[in-house]
Amino acid sequence: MDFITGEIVGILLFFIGLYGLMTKKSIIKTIMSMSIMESGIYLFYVTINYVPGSVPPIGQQGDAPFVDPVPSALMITAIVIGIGVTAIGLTMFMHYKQKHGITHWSRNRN
Amino acid sequence: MLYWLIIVPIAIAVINIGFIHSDSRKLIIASQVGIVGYTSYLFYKVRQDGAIADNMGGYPGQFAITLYADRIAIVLIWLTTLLFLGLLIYAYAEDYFTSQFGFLYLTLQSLIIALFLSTDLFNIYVLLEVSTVVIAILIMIRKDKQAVYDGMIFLFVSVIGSGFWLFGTGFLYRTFGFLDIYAIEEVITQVDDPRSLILPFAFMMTTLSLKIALFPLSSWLPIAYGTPSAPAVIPAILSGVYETTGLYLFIRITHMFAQVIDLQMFFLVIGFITAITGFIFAVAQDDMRLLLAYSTISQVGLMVVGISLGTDYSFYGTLYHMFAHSLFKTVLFLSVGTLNTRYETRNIQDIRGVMKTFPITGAAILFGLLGITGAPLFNGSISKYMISYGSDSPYIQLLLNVINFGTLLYSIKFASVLFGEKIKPEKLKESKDPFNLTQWVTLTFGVLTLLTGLFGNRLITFLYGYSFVFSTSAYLEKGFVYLLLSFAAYALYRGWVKESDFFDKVGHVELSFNAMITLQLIFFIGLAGYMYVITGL
Repeated sequence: MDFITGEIVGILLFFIGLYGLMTKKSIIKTIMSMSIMESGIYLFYVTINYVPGSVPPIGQQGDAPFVDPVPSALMITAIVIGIGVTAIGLTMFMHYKQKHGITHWSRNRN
Repeated sequence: MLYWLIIVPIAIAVINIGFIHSDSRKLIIASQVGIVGYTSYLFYKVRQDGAIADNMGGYPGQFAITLYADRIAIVLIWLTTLLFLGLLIYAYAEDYFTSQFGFLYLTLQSLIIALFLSTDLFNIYVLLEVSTVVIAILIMIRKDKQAVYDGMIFLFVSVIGSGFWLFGTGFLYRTFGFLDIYAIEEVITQVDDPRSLILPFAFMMTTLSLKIALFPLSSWLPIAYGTPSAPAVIPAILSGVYETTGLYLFIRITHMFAQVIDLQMFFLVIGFITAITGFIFAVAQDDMRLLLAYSTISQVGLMVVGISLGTDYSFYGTLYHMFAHSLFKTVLFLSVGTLNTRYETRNIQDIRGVMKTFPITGAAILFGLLGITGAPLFNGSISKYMISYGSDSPYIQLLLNVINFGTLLYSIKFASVLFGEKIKPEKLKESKDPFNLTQWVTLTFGVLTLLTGLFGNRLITFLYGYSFVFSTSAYLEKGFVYLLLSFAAYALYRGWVKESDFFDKVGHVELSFNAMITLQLIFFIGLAGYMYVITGL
């Protein structure tokens, strides 16, 4: 089961999210698929360049090597942005649904 | 010192919305004048002493977040600040210029400047994402049904596109261990297996191709630009400035990978397809704003062709075309805004006699159209001349002429609003702008398209430090070809295009949201597949 690593699962999640975006016409499902896609990216990042047995980069360094902290720091930022974008997307969707009663992407915009 | 360009607009934006409860328009405009002045100073510095690099936090280059301004970046920033100032003066008397609008506008300015300066791939992701959100809010600033729908399409399509960028950045970080564009460029040849760069390249180029609206990823652009209720300055910023950031990143990222991955042929073909489909759709539109939106797609195709030709002539020609495109597209979008408020329509068939009714805007439109079609003496002629000079292949020359023919075709359609009977003033909506500020600003940009054409050669040397020998006979020959093409385009427009069913049908083609995302994936797979199979990396 060595092939089930964070990277592979991250890539799979990314494309599962993308599949949802390609096939679902409901706006709320679009937002959910987008979150799945982003989770894939987060997972991918936090597992890249992981050396088994390494320790968190806190305190004194012992024998074990430190984990590279940069990807995690980047992902904290990306998660915050992701939440912001999801919140804005949901706000737009709520406004759109409450005012105009539309919940799906429709080609006929007028 | 570069960071001031990013901090000051944000600071003014916050002061404007948080602390000033009365009219803050004058403060915003004053800050813009200051920023233009400071950018001019930085431009002077870069010209004198070469590129400026600011490493944040005092870390060494490849680990720090670096702001980097070379000649190309600083010229684009200078142009950006000028356009932002001009557009604010245009919007001064309009009802949408509230403190909220000012906040979004200044934030966007700061983000766009940062996009030009930042060399950090993750920073660029953050900036792309936040600028997408700001633009989406600006698009739906009037909150009507279509505006919200268009804003959502723009937001989701762009955010998903940025996801590709982030993923690509992850692959690069895994390989290199840092995220600085220039640092990666330095060591990229030392990569053991060049195939490991295919995926990040494909991911990042998918984002950028979406951002600059290359075929087949251009469907979002007319939706975002064409929102009926969005103020005229929004599509002007999108087309004049935001598009340029995408092209600038496109240049930098292709340059970063250039030593290992060379896809000039691929993007040359895609550029031509984009330019040609762009003008076909542009000719089919009756809505002036949509016509200009598709025209932007067509011009972007031309610029990608210019970048992909790979010679110095065409490269600097493209840079100058980016500069010229910002000017004439701003003129045209602003003119449409003025006409829209007075005639209360944007349909080309319903507007006639602009030259007599609004001579100032009419003249501006004329300048803009002469610029975009590359008429002799106007800025478009210089840049298009340089792009075409970059290649001696007859096929490329032919295709460039086809693109210009298409540009003439939709420009003639657009120009039909200029002529005809003068309309009675009582049929027009009253203007709230006593000094005709909107019209004068538009004309100023129009005159700039002429001036940057008349002094094009000297300006290119001044801006980019690139001197170019103009062959007068070749330039005259181009002028002659231009005249011939104009006559042919006029004849074709009157004889066939105007009544054609084909264009009527084409004009109404629109992709669904799911189709847009599917095309992103297809483009990505196509790009990666092309590199694996054809280039044999």
